[in-house]
Amino acid sequence: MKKTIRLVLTLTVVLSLFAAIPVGAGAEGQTINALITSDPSTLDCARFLGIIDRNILHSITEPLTRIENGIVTPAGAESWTVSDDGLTYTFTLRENQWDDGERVTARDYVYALRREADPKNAWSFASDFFSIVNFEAAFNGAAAPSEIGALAEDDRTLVITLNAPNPAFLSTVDIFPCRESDVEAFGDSYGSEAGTVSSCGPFKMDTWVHNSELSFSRNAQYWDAEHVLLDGFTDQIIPDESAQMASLENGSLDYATVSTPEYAAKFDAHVDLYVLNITTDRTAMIVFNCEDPVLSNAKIRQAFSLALDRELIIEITNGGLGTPAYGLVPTVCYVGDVNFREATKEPLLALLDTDPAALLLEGMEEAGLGADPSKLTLQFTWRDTSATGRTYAELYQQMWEDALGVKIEIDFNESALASIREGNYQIGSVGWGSTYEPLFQLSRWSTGGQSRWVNADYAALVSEGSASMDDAVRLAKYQQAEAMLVTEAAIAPTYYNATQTYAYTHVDGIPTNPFDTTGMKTFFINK
Amino acid sequence: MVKYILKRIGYMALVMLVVTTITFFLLHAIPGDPITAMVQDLPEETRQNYLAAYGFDQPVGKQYLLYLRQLFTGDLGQSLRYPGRKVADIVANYSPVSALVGGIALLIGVALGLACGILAALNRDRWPDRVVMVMALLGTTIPTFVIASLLQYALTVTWPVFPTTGYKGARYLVLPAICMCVGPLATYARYMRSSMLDVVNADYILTAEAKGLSEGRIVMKHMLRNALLPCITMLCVSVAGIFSGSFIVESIFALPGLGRYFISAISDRDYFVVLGLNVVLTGIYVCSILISDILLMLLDPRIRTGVKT
Repeated sequence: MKKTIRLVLTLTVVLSLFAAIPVGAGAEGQTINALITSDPSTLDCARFLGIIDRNILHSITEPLTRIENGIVTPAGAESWTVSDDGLTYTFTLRENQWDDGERVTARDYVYALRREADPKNAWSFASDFFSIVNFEAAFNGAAAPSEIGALAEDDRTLVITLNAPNPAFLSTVDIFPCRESDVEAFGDSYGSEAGTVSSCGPFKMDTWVHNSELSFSRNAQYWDAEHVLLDGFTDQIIPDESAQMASLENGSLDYATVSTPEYAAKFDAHVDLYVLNITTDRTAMIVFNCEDPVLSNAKIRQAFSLALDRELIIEITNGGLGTPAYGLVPTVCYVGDVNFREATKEPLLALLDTDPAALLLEGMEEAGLGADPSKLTLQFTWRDTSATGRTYAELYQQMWEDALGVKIEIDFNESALASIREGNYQIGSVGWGSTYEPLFQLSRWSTGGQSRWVNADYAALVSEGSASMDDAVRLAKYQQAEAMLVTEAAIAPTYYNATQTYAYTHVDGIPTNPFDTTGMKTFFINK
Repeated sequence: MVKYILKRIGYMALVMLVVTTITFFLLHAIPGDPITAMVQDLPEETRQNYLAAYGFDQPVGKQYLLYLRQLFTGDLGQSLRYPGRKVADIVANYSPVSALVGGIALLIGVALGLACGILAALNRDRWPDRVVMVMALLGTTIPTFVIASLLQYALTVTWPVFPTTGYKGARYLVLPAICMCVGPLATYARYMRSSMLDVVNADYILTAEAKGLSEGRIVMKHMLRNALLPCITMLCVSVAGIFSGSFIVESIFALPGLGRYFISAISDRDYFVVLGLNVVLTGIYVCSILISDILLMLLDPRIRTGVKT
């Protein structure tokens, strides 16, 4: 008996030691615990690989310009002028310092651009910068990185020259600064650990425990430090969904994106949480291999596009989030000041009365494939091999088989994207993000893209549009191009994606425009 | 003896070379390449540039020879998914975390598991045996992610006693260690039980009983010592295993261990990380087998006489 009591006492003491500090005690002061789903690849602005890395760079460095509420605003540059021919951008830099007090100069921006153009760094996002003079040539080894069209006239004046007018230039690129002395000091490990990157943005990085957590604090040297309300924030790296949701529920996270409907329903009932519905810049779509003998016929492709019940796809595969897509360009894109989607009726809407089965028969006749759809077997390449992923693929299979009478075989293939890129597929499913102007979405099909759809008229429309500084002309060309792409069914857009972010009521300033590049600068605690 | 060990070390080097070779060619046989696995939205020319910058445009055979040359100079290469991180640094920085959590879990699991196994064997077909066996069965069959998620929800949300995720002190290790000790506990309990039962019927136990030794002495000196021998082989392999970490537990509790690097490197096609970690972990594994063989030789005279010294 005595022994039992002693055991219970010991256990109590041990457990209470662990329990001494309560978790989820709520936000103390102006700090926020944010979620990221994987470890950043690197915070070297010339080698980073993904959106998570880019978002952190927005918090710790100061790009020339930022997008705030969808609008290009001065950041590292306090102002700029564009020459009449649209080719020369002259930026006047702000008085801004690195976290050790040294001035941020125009040379830091030029140096960063040259590193990004250097083929040695093989930077994944280099093509965003190809409109800068000689950038593409340098990246392909045909010119020296020092020959690119970026020049520091003096400490505060930066001149960037473009190959051709590009009205979307500043809304597409992030021009980060980078100090040559830092890169020389840290060499290959520059950007890979907390101590190896200098900050000139709203925050500086204090710790980086790979695959676990990063922590940041306010950068007192930052030019706009008075408008940075947070004292600091952490990025907790949690890949597992149940762990993410547990962290949100007990307050270890202050906000998080919730994609599973069951969790969303639970958090809807949580009184301390509010929800932000955020329309993203992504369009989900089906791509058809137009080099395939069957799918080279436009009517057959159209039949497959029209046979899809887009509402049902959203309901089942995306938890009801998103909007059916009858066009390619998502609702968040603008041409100049005009919202593209508001100005453009979605092209597929006009075709909704067409009977897909009849269209398929016409197409089969044209292609000499006989008149019996049940003899037609097509392969649908699908990437997600998880149990739920498989049921999603079967939804598409069923829709096509029911509406068209064809036979669909699903090829479950974790390397589906590689197969699609190599043209080794018939029908595939992909998603594409966009930038502020629709050009990014439209231009990838100019050379066929994943669909291998060759159409010189389309390519001409896109390039004429992108070269025009006149917003109205650009809009008109893009509208015609989109209509051509979607009605000829090189692709079948399915839905414009949306996400839900749940946040505790004390968290404020979460950007809702998917193009915003303000990082954590706008966040604050609202007591 | 020395000759025997030297010969074994020679074989180990051969095993490592074979494993590296097989891994290399299997890895390159998977469709796709690192850059496509990491960034989808990439123009063809950028992709080609990337492949060329890392030498992936070369024939696979040439890449293999280059990799071997690099390996023999002691360079494990650099991560592709995480530019600037050397594979050697990844091992040095993150395998200790895995080893710490895994070590604690293994220690608890093995200690409790052996105790349960002995208890079960000595009470064969009575209730302690049944309880232990049912628990062991559950422990081996319930997937770790179920245990980990349930435990996390119960002890960080329902009763917020422990921190949810992270690695900032001893409190952060409790839940992961509990999750990871379930497996070894169940395995060792079953193993020890059957090992004990083998020994119980051995002739020398009958002899010991006939000599009139006390039951305690028989269990401690004769049964345990012999029953533990097979467990030693397994223990060495388990110790080798803790360095590779647990992908599931590390993902759920956001621990900066090696397990996550290893598994995600495969889906990222991070060739050098997969190969480098494979070389290191194979090395640890074959070493552990050697150590277990030497230990057995020291402990078991029957094995010792089999080896010409």
